[in-house]
Amino acid sequence: MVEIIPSGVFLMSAIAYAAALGLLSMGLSLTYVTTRVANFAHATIGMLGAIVMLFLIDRVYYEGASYQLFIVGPLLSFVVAGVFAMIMYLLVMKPLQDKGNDVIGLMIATFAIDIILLNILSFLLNAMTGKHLPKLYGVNIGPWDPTIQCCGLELKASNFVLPIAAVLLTLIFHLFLTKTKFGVAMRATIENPNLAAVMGVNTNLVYTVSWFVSGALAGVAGSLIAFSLKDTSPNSSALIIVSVFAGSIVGGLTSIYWGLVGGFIVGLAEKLLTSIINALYNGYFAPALGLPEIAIINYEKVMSLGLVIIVLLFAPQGLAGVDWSKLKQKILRR
Amino acid sequence: MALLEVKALNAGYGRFHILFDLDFKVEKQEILIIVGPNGSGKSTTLKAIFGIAKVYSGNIIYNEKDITRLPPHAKARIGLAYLPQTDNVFAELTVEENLRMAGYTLPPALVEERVEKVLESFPFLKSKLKDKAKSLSGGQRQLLAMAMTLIREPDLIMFDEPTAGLAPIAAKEVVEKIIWLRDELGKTIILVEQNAKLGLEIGDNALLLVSGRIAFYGKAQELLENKDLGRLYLGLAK
Repeated sequence: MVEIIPSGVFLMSAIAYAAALGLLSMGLSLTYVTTRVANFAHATIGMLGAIVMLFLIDRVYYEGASYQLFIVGPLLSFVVAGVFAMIMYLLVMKPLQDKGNDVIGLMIATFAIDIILLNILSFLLNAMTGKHLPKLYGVNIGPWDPTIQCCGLELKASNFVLPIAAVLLTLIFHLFLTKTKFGVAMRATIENPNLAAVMGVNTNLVYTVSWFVSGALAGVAGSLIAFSLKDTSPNSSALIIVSVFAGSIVGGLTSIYWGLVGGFIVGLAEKLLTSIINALYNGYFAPALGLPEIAIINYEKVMSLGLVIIVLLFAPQGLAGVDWSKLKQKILRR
Repeated sequence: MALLEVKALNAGYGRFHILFDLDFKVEKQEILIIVGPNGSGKSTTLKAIFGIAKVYSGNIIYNEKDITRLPPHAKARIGLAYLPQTDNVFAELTVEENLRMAGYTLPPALVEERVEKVLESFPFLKSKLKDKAKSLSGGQRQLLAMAMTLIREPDLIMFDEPTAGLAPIAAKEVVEKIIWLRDELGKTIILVEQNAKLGLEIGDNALLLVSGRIAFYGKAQELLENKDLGRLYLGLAK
Protein backbone atom coordinates (compact mmCIF):
# COMPACT_ATOMS: atom_id res chain seq x y z
CA MET A 1 0.00 0.00 0.00
CA VAL A 2 1.42 3.33 -1.03
CA GLU A 3 0.92 6.37 1.21
CA ILE A 4 -0.88 9.07 -0.77
CA ILE A 5 -1.59 11.41 2.11
CA PRO A 6 1.76 12.98 3.03
CA SER A 7 3.13 12.50 6.54
CA GLY A 8 2.83 15.19 9.19
CA VAL A 9 6.54 15.93 9.02
CA PHE A 10 6.39 16.36 5.26
CA LEU A 11 3.27 18.48 5.53
CA MET A 12 4.95 20.80 8.02
CA SER A 13 8.03 21.19 5.82
CA ALA A 14 5.77 21.93 2.85
CA ILE A 15 3.94 24.62 4.83
CA ALA A 16 7.27 26.11 5.90
CA TYR A 17 8.53 26.20 2.32
CA ALA A 18 5.22 27.74 1.19
CA ALA A 19 5.49 30.39 3.91
CA ALA A 20 9.00 31.28 2.72
CA LEU A 21 7.79 31.59 -0.86
CA GLY A 22 4.89 33.71 0.38
CA LEU A 23 7.28 36.17 2.03
CA LEU A 24 9.50 36.25 -1.05
CA SER A 25 6.58 36.74 -3.46
CA MET A 26 5.12 39.46 -1.27
CA GLY A 27 8.42 41.35 -1.39
CA LEU A 28 8.74 40.85 -5.13
CA SER A 29 5.21 42.23 -5.66
CA LEU A 30 5.99 45.16 -3.37
CA THR A 31 8.87 46.55 -5.42
CA TYR A 32 6.88 45.84 -8.55
CA VAL A 33 3.83 47.84 -7.45
CA THR A 34 5.91 50.73 -6.15
CA THR A 35 8.73 51.09 -8.68
CA ARG A 36 7.62 48.81 -11.55
CA VAL A 37 10.79 46.76 -11.27
CA ALA A 38 10.52 42.98 -11.75
CA ASN A 39 13.50 42.12 -9.60
CA PHE A 40 15.26 38.96 -10.74
CA ALA A 41 17.88 39.41 -8.03
CA HIS A 42 15.20 39.00 -5.37
CA ALA A 43 15.95 35.37 -4.45
CA THR A 44 19.69 36.02 -4.35
CA ILE A 45 19.03 38.93 -2.00
CA GLY A 46 17.09 36.40 0.07
CA MET A 47 20.11 34.11 0.03
CA LEU A 48 22.00 36.86 1.84
CA GLY A 49 19.90 35.72 4.78
CA ALA A 50 21.15 32.16 4.33
CA ILE A 51 24.72 33.46 4.28
CA VAL A 52 24.10 35.47 7.45
CA MET A 53 22.98 32.20 9.08
CA LEU A 54 26.07 30.44 7.80
CA PHE A 55 28.35 33.08 9.30
CA LEU A 56 26.46 33.09 12.58
CA ILE A 57 26.93 29.32 12.80
CA ASP A 58 30.60 29.54 11.87
CA ARG A 59 31.42 32.34 14.31
CA VAL A 60 28.94 32.12 17.19
CA TYR A 61 26.71 29.07 17.24
CA TYR A 62 29.24 26.47 16.00
CA GLU A 63 28.75 24.26 19.02
CA GLY A 64 25.38 22.99 17.90
CA ALA A 65 21.69 23.61 17.53
CA SER A 66 20.47 26.68 19.39
CA TYR A 67 17.09 28.35 19.57
CA GLN A 68 18.74 31.73 19.95
CA LEU A 69 19.99 31.36 16.39
CA PHE A 70 16.37 31.46 15.24
CA ILE A 71 15.88 34.93 16.69
CA VAL A 72 19.26 36.52 16.00
CA GLY A 73 19.58 35.02 12.50
CA PRO A 74 16.30 36.23 10.96
CA LEU A 75 16.63 39.66 12.61
CA LEU A 76 20.15 40.17 11.32
CA SER A 77 19.13 38.86 7.89
CA PHE A 78 16.20 41.29 7.89
CA VAL A 79 18.63 44.19 8.23
CA VAL A 80 21.42 42.91 5.95
CA ALA A 81 19.18 41.93 3.02
CA GLY A 82 17.00 45.02 3.51
CA VAL A 83 19.97 47.35 3.41
CA PHE A 84 21.39 45.58 0.36
CA ALA A 85 18.09 45.89 -1.55
CA MET A 86 17.87 49.55 -0.59
CA ILE A 87 21.39 50.25 -1.83
CA MET A 88 20.67 48.34 -5.03
CA TYR A 89 17.67 50.60 -5.62
CA LEU A 90 19.46 53.85 -4.82
CA LEU A 91 22.68 53.07 -6.66
CA VAL A 92 21.40 51.26 -9.73
CA MET A 93 17.64 51.10 -10.23
CA LYS A 94 16.77 54.70 -9.42
CA PRO A 95 19.49 56.26 -11.60
CA LEU A 96 18.43 53.95 -14.46
CA GLN A 97 14.81 54.91 -13.94
CA ASP A 98 15.65 58.61 -13.83
CA LYS A 99 17.42 58.22 -17.17
CA GLY A 100 14.14 56.98 -18.63
CA ASN A 101 14.73 53.22 -18.85
CA ASP A 102 11.54 51.23 -19.23
CA VAL A 103 10.30 48.13 -17.43
CA ILE A 104 12.27 45.79 -19.70
CA GLY A 105 15.53 47.69 -19.34
CA LEU A 106 15.18 47.71 -15.57
CA MET A 107 14.39 44.00 -15.50
CA ILE A 108 17.52 43.21 -17.50
CA ALA A 109 19.50 45.34 -15.07
CA THR A 110 18.23 43.19 -12.19
CA PHE A 111 19.44 40.11 -14.10
CA ALA A 112 22.86 41.70 -14.28
CA ILE A 113 22.87 42.52 -10.58
CA ASP A 114 21.75 38.97 -9.81
CA ILE A 115 24.65 37.46 -11.72
CA ILE A 116 27.19 39.90 -10.31
CA LEU A 117 25.97 39.31 -6.75
CA LEU A 118 25.94 35.52 -7.23
CA ASN A 119 29.50 35.53 -8.52
CA ILE A 120 30.81 37.81 -5.81
CA LEU A 121 29.17 35.72 -3.10
CA SER A 122 30.37 32.43 -4.60
CA PHE A 123 33.87 33.79 -4.97
CA LEU A 124 34.01 35.09 -1.42
CA LEU A 125 32.55 31.95 0.13
CA ASN A 126 34.95 29.77 -1.85
CA ALA A 127 37.95 31.92 -1.03
CA MET A 128 37.25 32.22 2.68
CA THR A 129 37.86 29.51 5.19
CA GLY A 130 35.53 29.10 8.10
CA LYS A 131 36.58 29.91 11.62
CA HIS A 132 34.99 26.75 12.96
CA LEU A 133 33.41 25.19 9.90
CA PRO A 134 35.87 23.44 7.55
CA LYS A 135 34.53 25.40 4.57
CA LEU A 136 31.94 28.04 3.85
CA TYR A 137 30.75 27.14 0.37
CA GLY A 138 28.07 24.50 0.07
CA VAL A 139 27.69 23.66 3.75
CA ASN A 140 24.62 21.77 4.91
CA ILE A 141 23.44 23.68 7.99
CA GLY A 142 20.57 21.22 8.61
CA PRO A 143 22.27 19.83 11.75
CA TRP A 144 21.92 23.24 13.41
CA ASP A 145 18.13 23.00 13.11
CA PRO A 146 16.86 21.67 16.47
CA THR A 147 14.26 18.93 16.45
CA ILE A 148 11.05 19.61 18.31
CA GLN A 149 8.72 16.87 19.59
CA CYS A 150 5.18 17.87 18.81
CA CYS A 151 1.98 15.89 18.44
CA GLY A 152 3.96 12.69 18.30
CA LEU A 153 6.04 13.98 15.42
CA GLU A 154 9.69 15.00 15.23
CA LEU A 155 9.58 18.41 13.61
CA LYS A 156 12.36 20.80 12.67
CA ALA A 157 12.47 24.18 14.42
CA SER A 158 12.86 26.07 11.14
CA ASN A 159 9.62 24.50 9.92
CA PHE A 160 7.86 26.02 12.91
CA VAL A 161 9.56 29.38 12.85
CA LEU A 162 8.97 30.05 9.13
CA PRO A 163 5.16 30.03 9.17
CA ILE A 164 5.15 31.98 12.45
CA ALA A 165 7.57 34.53 11.01
CA ALA A 166 5.48 34.82 7.85
CA VAL A 167 2.26 35.45 9.78
CA LEU A 168 3.95 37.86 12.17
CA LEU A 169 5.72 39.86 9.46
CA THR A 170 2.57 40.06 7.34
CA LEU A 171 0.60 41.27 10.34
CA ILE A 172 3.21 43.90 11.23
CA PHE A 173 3.45 45.02 7.62
CA HIS A 174 -0.34 45.22 7.39
CA LEU A 175 -0.53 47.36 10.54
CA PHE A 176 2.28 49.52 9.17
CA LEU A 177 0.35 50.04 5.92
CA THR A 178 -3.00 50.82 7.54
CA LYS A 179 -2.20 52.41 10.90
CA THR A 180 0.88 54.55 10.34
CA LYS A 181 1.01 57.81 8.45
CA PHE A 182 3.92 56.63 6.33
CA GLY A 183 2.18 53.32 5.60
CA VAL A 184 -0.93 55.06 4.32
CA ALA A 185 1.34 57.30 2.25
CA MET A 186 2.92 54.16 0.84
CA ARG A 187 -0.47 52.79 -0.23
CA ALA A 188 -1.34 56.19 -1.65
CA THR A 189 1.92 56.27 -3.62
CA ILE A 190 1.28 52.77 -4.96
CA GLU A 191 -2.10 53.87 -6.23
CA ASN A 192 -1.19 57.28 -7.62
CA PRO A 193 2.39 58.54 -7.20
CA ASN A 194 1.72 61.94 -8.77
CA LEU A 195 -1.19 62.67 -6.49
CA ALA A 196 0.78 61.47 -3.46
CA ALA A 197 3.56 63.91 -4.39
CA VAL A 198 0.97 66.65 -4.76
CA MET A 199 -0.08 65.90 -1.17
CA GLY A 200 3.49 66.43 -0.05
CA VAL A 201 4.62 62.79 0.10
CA ASN A 202 8.28 62.27 -0.69
CA THR A 203 7.67 59.41 -3.11
CA ASN A 204 11.38 58.69 -3.48
CA LEU A 205 11.52 57.92 0.22
CA VAL A 206 8.49 55.63 -0.15
CA TYR A 207 10.25 53.76 -2.97
CA THR A 208 13.45 53.44 -0.97
CA VAL A 209 11.58 52.08 2.04
CA SER A 210 9.66 49.64 -0.15
CA TRP A 211 12.97 48.23 -1.41
CA PHE A 212 14.22 47.90 2.13
CA VAL A 213 11.08 46.05 3.23
CA SER A 214 11.15 43.84 0.15
CA GLY A 215 14.77 42.85 0.75
CA ALA A 216 14.21 42.43 4.48
CA LEU A 217 11.30 40.02 3.97
CA ALA A 218 13.40 38.06 1.48
CA GLY A 219 16.28 37.96 3.96
CA VAL A 220 14.13 36.45 6.70
CA ALA A 221 12.74 33.85 4.29
CA GLY A 222 16.23 33.04 3.02
CA SER A 223 17.72 32.72 6.50
CA LEU A 224 15.14 30.13 7.55
CA ILE A 225 14.80 28.23 4.30
CA ALA A 226 18.57 27.69 4.39
CA PHE A 227 18.11 24.82 6.87
CA SER A 228 16.16 22.75 4.37
CA LEU A 229 18.57 23.31 1.47
CA LYS A 230 21.01 20.53 0.74
CA ASP A 231 23.78 23.08 0.82
CA THR A 232 23.82 26.75 1.65
CA SER A 233 25.27 28.18 -1.52
CA PRO A 234 24.06 31.39 -3.12
CA ASN A 235 23.34 29.47 -6.32
CA SER A 236 20.24 27.95 -4.72
CA SER A 237 18.52 31.20 -5.59
CA ALA A 238 18.44 30.30 -9.29
CA LEU A 239 15.75 27.69 -8.66
CA ILE A 240 13.94 29.62 -5.96
CA ILE A 241 13.45 32.75 -8.10
CA VAL A 242 11.36 30.74 -10.57
CA SER A 243 8.91 29.81 -7.82
CA VAL A 244 8.93 33.34 -6.41
CA PHE A 245 7.92 34.81 -9.75
CA ALA A 246 5.34 32.07 -10.15
CA GLY A 247 3.89 33.06 -6.78
CA SER A 248 3.77 36.77 -7.59
CA ILE A 249 2.22 36.13 -10.99
CA VAL A 250 -0.39 33.76 -9.57
CA GLY A 251 -1.16 36.51 -7.06
CA GLY A 252 -1.45 39.03 -9.87
CA LEU A 253 1.77 41.09 -9.42
CA THR A 254 -0.35 44.12 -8.58
CA SER A 255 -1.17 43.31 -4.98
CA ILE A 256 1.16 42.76 -2.05
CA TYR A 257 -1.26 40.56 -0.13
CA TRP A 258 -2.17 38.45 -3.13
CA GLY A 259 1.54 38.05 -3.75
CA LEU A 260 1.79 36.43 -0.34
CA VAL A 261 -1.17 34.16 -1.10
CA GLY A 262 0.23 33.32 -4.55
CA GLY A 263 3.61 32.39 -3.11
CA PHE A 264 1.98 30.23 -0.48
CA ILE A 265 -0.18 28.39 -3.02
CA VAL A 266 2.76 27.83 -5.37
CA GLY A 267 4.87 26.53 -2.47
CA LEU A 268 2.20 24.09 -1.38
CA ALA A 269 1.60 22.96 -4.95
CA GLU A 270 5.29 22.29 -5.51
CA LYS A 271 5.66 20.16 -2.42
CA LEU A 272 2.27 18.56 -1.82
CA LEU A 273 0.91 18.14 -5.34
CA THR A 274 4.14 16.63 -6.62
CA SER A 275 4.24 14.27 -3.68
CA ILE A 276 0.61 13.18 -4.16
CA ILE A 277 0.95 12.78 -7.92
CA ASN A 278 4.20 10.92 -7.40
CA ALA A 279 2.54 8.48 -4.99
CA LEU A 280 -0.48 8.02 -7.24
CA TYR A 281 1.56 7.39 -10.35
CA ASN A 282 4.30 5.19 -8.97
CA GLY A 283 1.99 3.44 -6.48
CA TYR A 284 -1.00 2.73 -8.73
CA PHE A 285 -0.84 3.78 -12.37
CA ALA A 286 2.69 2.67 -13.22
CA PRO A 287 2.32 -0.88 -11.81
CA ALA A 288 -1.24 -1.28 -13.13
CA LEU A 289 -0.43 -0.11 -16.63
CA GLY A 290 3.06 -1.56 -16.77
CA LEU A 291 4.68 1.86 -17.12
CA PRO A 292 8.18 2.64 -15.91
CA GLU A 293 8.60 4.37 -12.54
CA ILE A 294 9.30 8.09 -12.73
CA ALA A 295 10.62 10.16 -9.85
CA ILE A 296 7.93 12.81 -10.29
CA ILE A 297 9.00 14.25 -6.94
CA ASN A 298 11.98 15.79 -8.76
CA TYR A 299 9.76 17.87 -11.05
CA GLU A 300 8.50 20.44 -8.55
CA LYS A 301 8.95 23.40 -10.86
CA VAL A 302 6.61 21.83 -13.40
CA MET A 303 3.91 22.25 -10.76
CA SER A 304 4.58 25.90 -10.05
CA LEU A 305 4.94 26.91 -13.66
CA GLY A 306 1.98 24.76 -14.69
CA LEU A 307 -0.04 26.52 -12.03
CA VAL A 308 0.96 29.90 -13.47
CA ILE A 309 -0.39 28.90 -16.87
CA ILE A 310 -3.63 27.50 -15.46
CA VAL A 311 -4.28 30.55 -13.26
CA LEU A 312 -3.50 32.99 -16.07
CA LEU A 313 -5.82 31.08 -18.44
CA PHE A 314 -8.75 31.48 -16.06
CA ALA A 315 -7.75 34.77 -14.42
CA PRO A 316 -5.47 36.83 -16.68
CA GLN A 317 -4.95 39.38 -13.89
CA GLY A 318 -4.00 36.70 -11.38
CA LEU A 319 -5.89 36.06 -8.17
CA ALA A 320 -5.93 39.79 -7.38
CA GLY A 321 -8.00 40.42 -10.50
CA VAL A 322 -10.72 37.90 -9.65
CA ASP A 323 -14.02 39.39 -8.54
CA TRP A 324 -14.43 37.13 -5.52
CA SER A 325 -17.82 38.46 -4.40
CA LYS A 326 -19.24 37.81 -7.87
CA LEU A 327 -17.71 34.35 -7.90
CA LYS A 328 -19.23 33.61 -4.52
CA GLN A 329 -22.66 34.69 -5.72
CA LYS A 330 -22.31 32.50 -8.80
CA ILE A 331 -21.41 29.46 -6.72
CA LEU A 332 -24.15 30.10 -4.19
CA ARG A 333 -26.76 30.43 -6.94
CA ARG A 334 -25.99 26.91 -8.01
CA MET B 1 2.83 92.19 -5.53
CA ALA B 2 1.45 89.22 -7.44
CA LEU B 3 1.19 85.92 -5.60
CA LEU B 4 2.39 83.97 -8.62
CA GLU B 5 4.36 85.20 -11.54
CA VAL B 6 5.27 83.07 -14.54
CA LYS B 7 8.06 84.45 -16.70
CA ALA B 8 8.98 83.22 -20.20
CA LEU B 9 7.99 79.67 -19.33
CA ASN B 10 8.93 76.90 -21.73
CA ALA B 11 7.84 73.44 -20.67
CA GLY B 12 6.74 70.02 -21.84
CA TYR B 13 7.30 66.31 -21.35
CA GLY B 14 10.71 64.90 -22.22
CA ARG B 15 11.35 66.04 -25.78
CA PHE B 16 7.75 67.14 -26.37
CA HIS B 17 7.92 70.90 -26.11
CA ILE B 18 4.38 72.04 -25.32
CA LEU B 19 4.45 75.51 -23.78
CA PHE B 20 6.22 78.45 -25.41
CA ASP B 21 7.21 81.65 -23.63
CA LEU B 22 4.26 82.00 -21.27
CA ASP B 23 4.12 85.21 -19.24
CA PHE B 24 1.36 85.88 -16.74
CA LYS B 25 0.63 86.89 -13.16
CA VAL B 26 -1.95 85.90 -10.61
CA GLU B 27 -2.85 88.43 -7.94
CA LYS B 28 -4.00 87.45 -4.47
CA GLN B 29 -7.67 86.42 -4.27
CA GLU B 30 -7.99 86.37 -8.02
CA ILE B 31 -9.52 83.64 -10.17
CA LEU B 32 -7.48 83.19 -13.32
CA ILE B 33 -9.25 81.12 -15.95
CA ILE B 34 -7.19 79.21 -18.48
CA VAL B 35 -9.16 78.30 -21.59
CA GLY B 36 -8.26 77.04 -25.04
CA PRO B 37 -8.86 74.24 -27.52
CA ASN B 38 -7.95 70.64 -26.75
CA GLY B 39 -4.21 70.05 -26.65
CA SER B 40 -3.36 73.73 -26.28
CA GLY B 41 -1.36 73.13 -23.11
CA LYS B 42 -3.85 74.17 -20.41
CA SER B 43 -3.20 71.21 -18.13
CA THR B 44 0.51 71.29 -18.89
CA THR B 45 0.64 74.87 -17.63
CA LEU B 46 -0.62 73.74 -14.22
CA LYS B 47 1.69 70.73 -14.22
CA ALA B 48 4.68 72.87 -15.10
CA ILE B 49 3.90 75.31 -12.29
CA PHE B 50 3.59 72.43 -9.86
CA GLY B 51 6.74 70.69 -11.09
CA ILE B 52 5.17 67.62 -12.65
CA ALA B 53 5.84 68.63 -16.27
CA LYS B 54 9.41 69.50 -17.21
CA VAL B 55 10.38 73.16 -17.25
CA TYR B 56 13.02 73.85 -19.93
CA SER B 57 13.46 77.54 -19.25
CA GLY B 58 11.79 80.49 -17.62
CA ASN B 59 10.90 81.24 -14.01
CA ILE B 60 8.06 80.61 -11.64
CA ILE B 61 7.97 83.13 -8.83
CA TYR B 62 5.73 82.46 -5.85
CA ASN B 63 5.51 84.92 -2.98
CA GLU B 64 8.63 86.62 -4.35
CA LYS B 65 10.60 83.37 -4.25
CA ASP B 66 11.84 81.51 -7.31
CA ILE B 67 10.30 78.02 -7.04
CA THR B 68 10.98 76.85 -10.59
CA ARG B 69 13.14 73.91 -9.55
CA LEU B 70 11.36 72.82 -6.36
CA PRO B 71 9.97 69.25 -6.47
CA PRO B 72 6.17 68.89 -6.17
CA HIS B 73 6.20 67.73 -2.55
CA ALA B 74 8.18 70.82 -1.57
CA LYS B 75 5.74 73.07 -3.42
CA ALA B 76 2.89 71.44 -1.53
CA ARG B 77 4.57 72.50 1.70
CA ILE B 78 4.77 76.19 0.83
CA GLY B 79 1.11 76.74 0.03
CA LEU B 80 0.52 75.56 -3.52
CA ALA B 81 -2.16 73.01 -4.31
CA TYR B 82 -3.00 71.29 -7.54
CA LEU B 83 -6.09 69.23 -8.29
CA PRO B 84 -5.55 66.92 -11.25
CA GLN B 85 -8.45 66.45 -13.66
CA THR B 86 -8.86 62.73 -13.03
CA ASP B 87 -7.57 60.37 -10.36
CA ASN B 88 -7.51 63.22 -7.89
CA VAL B 89 -8.53 61.10 -4.93
CA PHE B 90 -7.07 57.78 -3.80
CA ALA B 91 -9.82 55.39 -4.88
CA GLU B 92 -8.57 52.48 -2.78
CA LEU B 93 -8.28 54.50 0.42
CA THR B 94 -11.24 55.45 2.61
CA VAL B 95 -12.56 58.99 2.64
CA GLU B 96 -10.99 59.45 6.07
CA GLU B 97 -7.62 58.13 4.90
CA ASN B 98 -7.85 60.44 1.89
CA LEU B 99 -8.41 63.45 4.13
CA ARG B 100 -5.54 62.42 6.39
CA MET B 101 -3.26 61.90 3.40
CA ALA B 102 -4.09 65.44 2.36
CA GLY B 103 -2.67 66.64 5.67
CA TYR B 104 0.49 64.60 5.24
CA THR B 105 2.78 67.56 5.73
CA LEU B 106 1.02 68.79 8.87
CA PRO B 107 1.49 67.85 12.55
CA PRO B 108 -1.08 65.17 13.59
CA ALA B 109 -3.00 67.39 16.02
CA LEU B 110 -3.48 70.02 13.33
CA VAL B 111 -4.71 67.37 10.86
CA GLU B 112 -7.50 66.39 13.29
CA GLU B 113 -8.52 70.01 13.63
CA ARG B 114 -8.44 70.68 9.91
CA VAL B 115 -10.37 67.51 9.06
CA GLU B 116 -13.10 68.61 11.48
CA LYS B 117 -13.14 72.07 9.95
CA VAL B 118 -13.29 70.81 6.37
CA LEU B 119 -16.10 68.39 7.24
CA GLU B 120 -18.13 71.40 8.39
CA SER B 121 -17.86 72.82 4.87
CA PHE B 122 -18.44 69.46 3.17
CA PRO B 123 -21.00 67.83 5.49
CA PHE B 124 -21.93 65.03 3.07
CA LEU B 125 -18.52 63.47 3.70
CA LYS B 126 -19.26 62.88 7.39
CA SER B 127 -21.40 59.82 6.73
CA LYS B 128 -18.89 58.41 4.25
CA LEU B 129 -15.66 58.57 6.25
CA LYS B 130 -15.22 54.78 6.34
CA ASP B 131 -16.21 54.23 2.69
CA LYS B 132 -13.59 53.79 0.02
CA ALA B 133 -13.36 56.83 -2.23
CA LYS B 134 -14.15 54.71 -5.26
CA SER B 135 -17.72 54.34 -3.97
CA LEU B 136 -18.37 58.09 -4.36
CA SER B 137 -20.06 59.62 -7.41
CA GLY B 138 -18.08 61.80 -9.83
CA GLY B 139 -19.31 65.05 -8.29
CA GLN B 140 -18.69 63.79 -4.76
CA ARG B 141 -15.16 62.82 -5.73
CA GLN B 142 -14.45 66.31 -7.04
CA LEU B 143 -15.75 67.76 -3.78
CA LEU B 144 -13.65 65.29 -1.77
CA ALA B 145 -10.63 66.30 -3.83
CA MET B 146 -11.42 69.92 -3.06
CA ALA B 147 -11.87 69.15 0.64
CA MET B 148 -8.49 67.37 0.60
CA THR B 149 -6.89 70.43 -0.93
CA LEU B 150 -8.28 72.63 1.83
CA ILE B 151 -6.80 70.50 4.62
CA ARG B 152 -3.42 72.07 3.98
CA GLU B 153 -4.99 75.55 3.76
CA PRO B 154 -3.03 76.47 0.64
CA ASP B 155 -2.97 80.01 -0.67
CA LEU B 156 -2.97 79.13 -4.35
CA ILE B 157 -5.20 76.35 -5.67
CA MET B 158 -4.96 75.12 -9.25
CA PHE B 159 -7.95 73.20 -10.62
CA ASP B 160 -7.69 71.13 -13.78
CA GLU B 161 -11.16 70.89 -15.38
CA PRO B 162 -13.05 70.13 -12.18
CA THR B 163 -16.43 70.05 -13.95
CA ALA B 164 -15.42 67.70 -16.79
CA GLY B 165 -17.82 64.80 -17.08
CA LEU B 166 -20.12 66.01 -14.32
CA ALA B 167 -23.89 66.37 -14.56
CA PRO B 168 -24.90 70.08 -14.80
CA ILE B 169 -26.18 70.16 -11.24
CA ALA B 170 -22.95 68.64 -9.86
CA ALA B 171 -20.88 71.00 -12.02
CA LYS B 172 -22.82 73.95 -10.61
CA GLU B 173 -22.09 72.82 -7.07
CA VAL B 174 -18.37 72.53 -7.82
CA VAL B 175 -18.27 76.01 -9.40
CA GLU B 176 -20.12 77.50 -6.45
CA LYS B 177 -17.53 75.99 -4.12
CA ILE B 178 -14.73 77.56 -6.16
CA ILE B 179 -16.30 81.00 -5.89
CA TRP B 180 -16.80 80.35 -2.16
CA LEU B 181 -13.08 79.54 -1.87
CA ARG B 182 -12.16 82.94 -3.21
CA ASP B 183 -14.87 85.03 -1.54
CA GLU B 184 -15.07 83.37 1.87
CA LEU B 185 -11.62 81.89 2.36
CA GLY B 186 -9.64 84.41 0.34
CA LYS B 187 -7.93 81.80 -1.82
CA THR B 188 -6.19 82.53 -5.09
CA ILE B 189 -7.29 80.23 -7.88
CA ILE B 190 -6.11 79.13 -11.29
CA LEU B 191 -8.87 77.25 -13.05
CA VAL B 192 -8.52 75.29 -16.25
CA GLU B 193 -12.03 74.94 -17.61
CA GLN B 194 -13.34 73.12 -20.66
CA ASN B 195 -16.67 74.92 -20.43
CA ALA B 196 -15.29 78.29 -21.52
CA LYS B 197 -18.49 80.25 -20.94
CA LEU B 198 -18.94 78.90 -17.42
CA GLY B 199 -15.30 79.59 -16.62
CA LEU B 200 -15.14 83.08 -18.06
CA GLU B 201 -18.27 84.10 -16.18
CA ILE B 202 -16.67 83.43 -12.81
CA GLY B 203 -13.09 84.37 -13.70
CA ASP B 204 -11.42 87.68 -12.95
CA ASN B 205 -8.69 87.33 -15.54
CA ALA B 206 -8.40 84.93 -18.42
CA LEU B 207 -5.63 83.29 -20.35
CA LEU B 208 -6.40 81.86 -23.78
CA LEU B 209 -3.86 79.31 -24.91
CA VAL B 210 -3.57 78.20 -28.51
CA SER B 211 -0.92 75.63 -29.45
CA GLY B 212 1.03 76.32 -26.30
CA ARG B 213 1.17 80.09 -26.82
CA ILE B 214 -0.81 82.91 -25.27
CA ALA B 215 -3.48 84.17 -27.68
CA PHE B 216 -5.22 86.40 -25.15
CA TYR B 217 -4.40 87.53 -21.63
CA GLY B 218 -6.62 90.04 -19.87
CA LYS B 219 -9.98 90.51 -18.20
CA ALA B 220 -12.20 87.43 -18.42
CA GLN B 221 -15.18 89.61 -19.32
CA GLU B 222 -13.27 91.03 -22.30
CA LEU B 223 -12.54 87.58 -23.67
CA LEU B 224 -16.17 86.60 -23.18
CA GLU B 225 -17.17 89.63 -25.27
CA ASN B 226 -14.50 89.10 -27.93
CA LYS B 227 -16.59 87.51 -30.65
CA ASP B 228 -13.69 86.52 -32.92
CA LEU B 229 -11.59 84.67 -30.35
CA GLY B 230 -14.70 83.16 -28.78
CA ARG B 231 -15.91 81.77 -32.08
CA LEU B 232 -12.51 80.63 -33.29
CA TYR B 233 -11.20 78.89 -30.23
CA LEU B 234 -13.85 78.50 -27.58
CA GLY B 235 -16.94 77.38 -29.46
CA LEU B 236 -18.88 80.38 -28.15
CA ALA B 237 -21.72 80.99 -30.61
CA LYS B 238 -22.49 84.34 -32.32
